[in-house]
Amino acid sequence: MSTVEDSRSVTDEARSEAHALAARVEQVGGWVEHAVGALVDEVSRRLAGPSPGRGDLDIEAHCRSLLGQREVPLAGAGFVAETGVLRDAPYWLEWWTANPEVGLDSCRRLTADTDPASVGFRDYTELPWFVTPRETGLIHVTGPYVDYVCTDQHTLTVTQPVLVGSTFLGVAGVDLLAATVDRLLGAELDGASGVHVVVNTVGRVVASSDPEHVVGDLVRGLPEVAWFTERRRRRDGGGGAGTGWSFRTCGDLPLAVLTATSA
Amino acid sequence: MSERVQPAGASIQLGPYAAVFAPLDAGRRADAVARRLGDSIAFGLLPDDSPLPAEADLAERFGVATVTVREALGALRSEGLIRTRRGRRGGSFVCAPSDGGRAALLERLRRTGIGEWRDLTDFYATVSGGCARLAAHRADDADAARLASLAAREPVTARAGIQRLEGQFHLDLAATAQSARLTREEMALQAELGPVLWLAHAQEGSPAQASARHRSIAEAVRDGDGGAARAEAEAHVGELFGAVRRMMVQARRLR
Repeated sequence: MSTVEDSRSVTDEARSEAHALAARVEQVGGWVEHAVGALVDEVSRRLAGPSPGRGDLDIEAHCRSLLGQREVPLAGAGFVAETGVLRDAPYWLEWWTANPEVGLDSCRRLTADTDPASVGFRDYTELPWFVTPRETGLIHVTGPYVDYVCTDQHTLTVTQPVLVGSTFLGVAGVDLLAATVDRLLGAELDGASGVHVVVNTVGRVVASSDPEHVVGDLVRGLPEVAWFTERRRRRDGGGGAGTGWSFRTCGDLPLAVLTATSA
Repeated sequence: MSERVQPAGASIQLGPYAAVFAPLDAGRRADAVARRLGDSIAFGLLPDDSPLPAEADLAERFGVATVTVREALGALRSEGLIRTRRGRRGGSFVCAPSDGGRAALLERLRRTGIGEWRDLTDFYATVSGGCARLAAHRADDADAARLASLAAREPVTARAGIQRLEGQFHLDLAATAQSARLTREEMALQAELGPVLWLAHAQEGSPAQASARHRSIAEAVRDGDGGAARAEAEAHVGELFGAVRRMMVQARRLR
């Protein structure tokens, strides 16, 4: 973890809360990264042969086991293919959804349109959870956003490119409701003395200890990209920002904990 | 725009018609199922001869019993909106109207009356305007770029094309507002009002005008100007309703 702070303007108590919160975010995020990584490995193994088809995927059992576990209750899991990668379908996705409150009993396959000639076809290769991992080659967190295709709620979609050799085959990943994240961070957020806000790289609120900052809001005026870049360059942090926030990264996750500084 | 017939044996894909197949409130049941499916078919919004999902699948989608779906399909069959084939590749198939749904729309307008459509459109304008205002406050750069690229699509006149263009833009606008409830309301309104609004627009509206409004909304969202975004969205819905008014004049002439 590293911090960029408006120097000394956060109380020791708030500082330690922020530290614990960032550690918990990192822990949950690490679990999700590991789960997505395992799914990516499975998909790439199944599609490694020459001219793979839909029938080679067979990831239902894996996805169901992800949706059945209770450590980090998920809202969705699956694979979305790059166009033209599968021999028997130009567009293809296999995604299972579940109500994270309920688990496996609510699990069902997502019905999605994969026929580009059909009337309301939405080209998923334009959507951020597909585009970004394809462009960067890295795991990506989209959201929180209102996912009208799938969960109907504020959602974080974590996707990672599936590569066989250097060929991009699509993305595999999971959906996590923002409400679930909020609950998983409950022990760290509830009753905190400081104002702590978990945000993504553009400053979109994921969870917060303060009702002034609600999931989906944007915290404006953050030099957010600079902060995240700074982190990569100089992991021990430092430097003041004058934004009213102290900034703390959560490991390598594209998420940060903001803590309000006193004026 | 030519509408493609789905291969035999494949059920119609729900993605683009998600609003059509969205779950129903309790009550109404068979009538509601028949009306929801019937409107979209009668107004030419579902491709001719495309297979409907299986009864059990429809029942799950609408949140009703299979027997209710069967009853609704029976009603649609007697209205000539679907045909049913038996056998392994059997099921229910869409009978699209040969006039693109114009007669059905005129009939619907004549029967329901303009007041009810205006009421529903007022509600839609409020939802859509509210979404636009919140979107202007809550959009990040990527959201603004996505809306701009949807707004930059070529204007279309085909029914199916309008459904895609209007439906997608406004759904993304609602999602950009970061409101799950407004997004659900947008979807529900698209299911209830969309067929009438879009078909009237296809018959009597101005695609160029609608596209210009989409661009203005996207620009206002990008600029963070909530007031302008709301005003543009409300004006846009008003213009779509203008096409319904013009259709109404024709419906009255036929009376």
